[in-house]
Amino acid sequence: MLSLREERHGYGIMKFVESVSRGRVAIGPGTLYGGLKSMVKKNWIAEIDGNDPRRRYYRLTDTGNIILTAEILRLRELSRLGRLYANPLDKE
Amino acid sequence: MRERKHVWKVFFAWQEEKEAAWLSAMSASGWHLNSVGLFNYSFVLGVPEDFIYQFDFIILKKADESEYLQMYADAGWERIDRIGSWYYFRKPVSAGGSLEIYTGKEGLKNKYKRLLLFLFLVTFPVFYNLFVWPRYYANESSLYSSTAYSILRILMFVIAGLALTAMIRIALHIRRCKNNH
Repeated sequence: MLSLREERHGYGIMKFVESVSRGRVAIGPGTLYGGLKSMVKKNWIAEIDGNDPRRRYYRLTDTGNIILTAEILRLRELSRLGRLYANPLDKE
Repeated sequence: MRERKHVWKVFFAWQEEKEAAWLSAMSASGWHLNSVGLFNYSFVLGVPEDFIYQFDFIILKKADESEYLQMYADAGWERIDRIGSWYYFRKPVSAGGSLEIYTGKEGLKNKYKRLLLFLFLVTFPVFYNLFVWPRYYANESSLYSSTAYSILRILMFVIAGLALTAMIRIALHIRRCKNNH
């Protein structure tokens, strides 16, 4: 979802995910295709016109933006708790 | 003209891993899958290479297929052939990136749900004919006692058995996807 704050096609999303995760995460095309279709159905993203006829372009909708923000806040809170209480490098 | 060969081999819907491993072994010995039919595989001889084979089960509208295939191509997966709603893909191990077409449990779970629903719908008439029809309507029909129908019944039992096995195995796949979530 983060990748669709700007308009992107499937390939663009793969590249984005690869680059922000520094090559750690690669999304399989089956997962990506299914994910896009399901987010379109939920109206989190929408298909938009693009200049590459072989690929479809998507972009976050207003609803999607709210969902994304909520998810980021949730992760931020988890990360805060993680730092407070569960530092695996601390020795008992 | 490159050398070709056809191989007849039966794999059931729950034997994807076995089928993929066999195709990989064929590629490693230089025989690369070229087209797929019902229980029938066609290969062309080439340079031996390590390929990963994966299959997707998806029902696509004609208009959506090109986007779908482009996404696979962009991720380095070559579409080999399609049989019904089964799409056959391969990717060289050396290509890097994801070595699975489904990297999350959710998508994989949905694939098996589609397959399960499809099998159920397609084989429903057979189950109906075996278990519902004889009980309620067969007495009124002379068809039921004919030899031809007895033979058909045996055939339908085989189909029903296979379908039931497939559906149970696929349902277990779906459960495994949920448990590992």
